Amino acid sequence: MSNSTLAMLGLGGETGSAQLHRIKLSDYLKIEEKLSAEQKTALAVFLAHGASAQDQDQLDESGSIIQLIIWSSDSAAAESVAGSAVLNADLPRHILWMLANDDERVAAPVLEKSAALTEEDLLGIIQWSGNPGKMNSIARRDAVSETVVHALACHGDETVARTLLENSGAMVSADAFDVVLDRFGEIESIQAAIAGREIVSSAVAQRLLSVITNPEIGAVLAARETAPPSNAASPARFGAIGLDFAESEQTLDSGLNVLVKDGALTEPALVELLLDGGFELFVRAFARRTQSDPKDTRRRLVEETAEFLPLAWKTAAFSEDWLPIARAAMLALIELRDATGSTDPKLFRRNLYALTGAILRREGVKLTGARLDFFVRHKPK
Amino acid sequence: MKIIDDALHKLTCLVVSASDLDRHLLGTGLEKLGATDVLSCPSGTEAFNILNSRRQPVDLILADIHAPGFHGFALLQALRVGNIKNMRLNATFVLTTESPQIDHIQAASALDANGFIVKPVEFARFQTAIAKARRTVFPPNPGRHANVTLPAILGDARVK
Repeated sequence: MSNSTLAMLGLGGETGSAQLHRIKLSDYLKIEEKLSAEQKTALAVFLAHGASAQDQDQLDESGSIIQLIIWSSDSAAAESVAGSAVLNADLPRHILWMLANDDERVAAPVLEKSAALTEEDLLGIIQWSGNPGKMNSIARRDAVSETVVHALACHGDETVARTLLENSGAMVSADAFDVVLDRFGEIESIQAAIAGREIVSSAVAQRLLSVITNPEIGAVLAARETAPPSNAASPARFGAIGLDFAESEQTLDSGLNVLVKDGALTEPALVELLLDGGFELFVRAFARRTQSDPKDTRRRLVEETAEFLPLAWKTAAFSEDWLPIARAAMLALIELRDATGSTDPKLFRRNLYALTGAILRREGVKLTGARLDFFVRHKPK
Repeated sequence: MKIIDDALHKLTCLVVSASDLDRHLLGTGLEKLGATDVLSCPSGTEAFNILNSRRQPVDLILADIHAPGFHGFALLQALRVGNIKNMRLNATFVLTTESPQIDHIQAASALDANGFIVKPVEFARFQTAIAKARRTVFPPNPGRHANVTLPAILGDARVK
């Protein structure tokens, strides 16, 4: 916030900014009438930026002020607040929910980027807004679950469908492909977007081949290696977790030797293995650190994750600070085990990262300091 | 005088407040914005009866949180959970008050209030607040709204 605005609020000088972070609803109501619309917007943006440094009482005060300002703002002002609010995960959810249900321009950044919105929130907006622009923003999210993808495929227009298909973080199920093909299968840009997906089941490819008219798209489709249908039997994947199931024992052992030699049997190194989908190497490294039998460690990690991981973490003399992220990544790996049928490492890592983040949020885990830096740095490109 | 052409054209609005002056000022404001049919009543109980008995739904409700009998939050919750027949669950609802508290704002948010006006309000700000309320459309969610705990309001006839 500019010095002139601080001065206008009677909070000029070096301590102005700090004072403003502690503003109460009652203080705001005293000066509200004197503030211009621009100053109110600046105040809301300022408070939204600083929310992460506030305790719960101050968050309630700031959140109430921001909410009052949004209720009294025009579209352009609300858009400024939305752009700032979406960057702060500590803001009360109701503020982001209000912005997400504002007009399309205001809602766009929130719908595209806010982690505060749940799957239920997104489904409600898709089903009730009837607004293709809002749906397109949702379709651009880093990770779009199968349920949300299906709803977008059913309710969105051609642009929404194309955005989804071009988003590698969107989990497009066979059902959703069918819906898109039923609704927009005749449109060439949709055909091209499907042909350009990293993973397309043979059933979808067959159906697409039957409708395409452009030989170039046909050639792309014919040339690609299609993945098997998701419900096809796949003995090679039986019991597999993560991406290193195809590695030989020898490769895994040599990977472990490198870790030991580099002195990398540490918390961040092991969590990194999990986030990279390297489950089998993680098992070996973790078993070495806890001096346990790898087979028994593997079985207990899979079957008794919630009970076994904290105990073994303690045995390994690891810092408890890293346990929540390790646990979330482990649960995500297990959940993804048979969920996608995908053999694409890039997509698997993206889904794994998104699901780990979702589990951390669901369990109310707040990463800070080194853990937060680590997690942000490991976002797959 | 109609300031904004058609902002609320052909819409029916209901103003709920115990204050004659508020009903007059807010009602006049809505008419300036183009509302063709502005109803008003002094209590939430009467508002509840009006809304329940009308054939044509009301498009926008403006209710004081301290309205006697059935206060603004109770009226909003009744609407959101589907206890007012012939009304859309997500109809536009704006709360008004002279002295907002944090728990008022939090409850209004939890009930997906489309607006929250702090009185007294000059016309330009009133106009912006109504425009904001009209452009915000929440998905109905009666299950969630039924679970919202309403703030204690002095004089609430429903509180025993």
